[in-house]
Amino acid sequence: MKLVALHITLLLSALTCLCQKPMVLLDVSPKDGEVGEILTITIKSNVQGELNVEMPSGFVHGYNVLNGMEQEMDYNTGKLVTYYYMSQTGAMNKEGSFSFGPAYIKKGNKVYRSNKVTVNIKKEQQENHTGTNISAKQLRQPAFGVIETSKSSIYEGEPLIVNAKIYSRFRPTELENYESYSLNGVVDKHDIGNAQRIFYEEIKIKGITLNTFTHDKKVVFPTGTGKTDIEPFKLILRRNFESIPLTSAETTFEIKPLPGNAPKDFTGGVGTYSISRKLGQANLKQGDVFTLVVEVTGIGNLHNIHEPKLNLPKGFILYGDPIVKEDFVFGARGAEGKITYEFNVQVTKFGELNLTGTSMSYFDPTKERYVTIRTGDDKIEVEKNDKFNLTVSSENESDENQAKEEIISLRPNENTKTPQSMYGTKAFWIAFGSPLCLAFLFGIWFKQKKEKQVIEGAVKKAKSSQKEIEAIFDQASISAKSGDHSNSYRLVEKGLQQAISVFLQSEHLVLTNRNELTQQLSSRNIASENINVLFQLLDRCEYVRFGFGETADSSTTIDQAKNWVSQNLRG
Amino acid sequence: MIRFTIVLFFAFSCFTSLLAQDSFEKGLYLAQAKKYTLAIREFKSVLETNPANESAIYNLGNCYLHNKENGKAILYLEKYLKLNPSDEEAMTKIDQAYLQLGLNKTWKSPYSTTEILIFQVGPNTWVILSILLSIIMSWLIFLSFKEARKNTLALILLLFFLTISCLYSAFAAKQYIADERFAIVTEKSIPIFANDLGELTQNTLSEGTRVEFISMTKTNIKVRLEGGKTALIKSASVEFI
Repeated sequence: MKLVALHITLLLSALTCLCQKPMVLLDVSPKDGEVGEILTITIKSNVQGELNVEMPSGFVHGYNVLNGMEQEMDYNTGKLVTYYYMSQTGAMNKEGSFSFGPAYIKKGNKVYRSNKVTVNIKKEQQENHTGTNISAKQLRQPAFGVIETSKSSIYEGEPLIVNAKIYSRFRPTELENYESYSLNGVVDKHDIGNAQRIFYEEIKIKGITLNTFTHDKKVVFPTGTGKTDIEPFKLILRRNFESIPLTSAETTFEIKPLPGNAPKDFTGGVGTYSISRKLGQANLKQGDVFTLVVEVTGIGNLHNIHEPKLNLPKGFILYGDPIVKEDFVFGARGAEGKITYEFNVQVTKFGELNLTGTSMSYFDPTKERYVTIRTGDDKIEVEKNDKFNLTVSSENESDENQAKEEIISLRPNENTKTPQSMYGTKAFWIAFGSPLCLAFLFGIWFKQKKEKQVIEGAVKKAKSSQKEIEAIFDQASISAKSGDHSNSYRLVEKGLQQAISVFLQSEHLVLTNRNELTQQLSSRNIASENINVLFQLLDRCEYVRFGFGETADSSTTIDQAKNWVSQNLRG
Repeated sequence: MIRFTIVLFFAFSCFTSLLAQDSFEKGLYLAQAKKYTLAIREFKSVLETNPANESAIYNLGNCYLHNKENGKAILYLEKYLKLNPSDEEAMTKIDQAYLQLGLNKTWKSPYSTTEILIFQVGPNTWVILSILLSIIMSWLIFLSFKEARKNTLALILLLFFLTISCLYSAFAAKQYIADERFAIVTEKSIPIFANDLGELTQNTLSEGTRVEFISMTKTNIKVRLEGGKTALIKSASVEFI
């Protein structure tokens, strides 16, 4: 029994000691965030003292620091335990994995230490949206802002409604230091429907109840085409003594160009319009000036339209510029109202005249096409006025009307570039000079080839001639061996004639003309004694031809002739 | 590295051409809305990226005309007419500017008919003609090596003279574009100097006057006026076409 009691006492004491052990607990929320996202660092401790928390580098302290305490019943000891809280907000300015803590609480001489918390920070995701998509990051924040636009894509000239929309988890008591959103290059903007008071609306997004209100609503008329950015707005929301600064995300919208086939009477209007016309006077005399009132009513960019063209027929002259009266307001649909143009027109003809209707065209963004509207024609009875002096000829009337109605005639962007002249460039000189160089090179090469062919031909011819001559002398030898010396001498003579013909390149050589032959052979540097030897050989052949020395052996003559040819006629 | 540079250059070119297109559309819109000063600014920014955009030059001249800045209107319309010598609408606009200045005259081109004709054919057309003639001449030269004939040689000589003419025309057409012989007085009135020492004469040149550059002196430029007379003026007082 004693033992049991002792164990229970010891156990209770141990538990008591454990329960009363000083505790410092560090928590960071969220543990996964983005650069710039608000982090809440909470320290819970049952010890009160001097607090010091180790923060990682890159941590930017926020405005909110909350201190508090609460008491809880410790069911183990039955005592009330007091817990002290400290909460701070901030954000990391770089991505990575960071360690928060430990937190130290110094009480007296003792220092109590907390745990460490690791937080992963990712790079900030670019959020571009038309204001309808809300990201998870935004929902985690106590308050955030978006820029809302009525459309994500508009036509050139079409109005666009833009407003700031703020979402918060609490009801702000005040709005401070508001810096409006800005649209690059847009100068035509008008405030609409901005109330002095803030009207809240409670909505639920992904299970989170948020208070929302709109602010700074404008109707803008952007110029140009393409994508346009809307820079974020900034403000500070106040909740009692707490200040929460917020910067909205930026947003973009697209401006589409109007189709290129605009009618001639297009006045620049984008929206929906109607036109009416009224004559100022009913009874007119020739030469009278009457007012023609044209009223254009519409919604859209009414304030930017041009005056409609009257297209007056002959017999009517327009005087001066019209008196323009504007009666419109800027609202959620753009400029809404009417513009009245009061023209002064003189009638120069008489009789029953037909004043053709006034037309104008506008672009309807919902139908995505140009729409032409027209007033009806007016029939006017004009009395003749003999006193009226028509100073302006009818041929000039249309010119005057043209001049008065002239609007600036512009050229579309054909983006023509004056072509860079190729003259003087390297490419030009190469293209110009290379055919000439190639022509000369090929020409010279071709000529050399031709000359070579001629030489080769001559050499070939000489070789074949030489073979022929040798064949003749061989035949002569054969004839001599067979005893036909007459034929043999004839062949020797033939061989000599051919050899000399080839040497002298003379096809019609006559061997009997000895003087000429001597001259020709001498001119080819054949020595005179060699020429005499030749003549002796030829004489011998002649004797046999004429019947003298028929039986003489021709072998020696053949050899002599061969030797003479090889010694004197080679080369 | 080279690929990166090429991609960067291409991206920059596309970006600047898109910017220029955007400014052009803005200029058109503003001009149609009769906001000429703003339109002039937009068209000028287009010309900064593409100085040879003829439509922008024409529209700029037109805007200046409607804005009653006649000297500048004449300058830009003259620039336009230099590139499009037969555009009658531009000629009419210049006449309107003269009328607004109180000058009773019509526009006449400062360039001779030959110069204009050479330019209108096109500098690159002359270049292509020269290259074609060179190829034909080369062929004839080659043929003459094969077989020398009097006809071939005569033809080569003729083509040689034609080629030289085309080369000269190509050079002249190129010079025409770069030529800055003529200038327009864009200020209301500019003084005429007697000498380089700064002494003034009693005469002045009025807005819209066209002058022809002759030579540069120490401090001024010598120009020829439309009547044939010469004058000494400051080069900053005029803008060259």
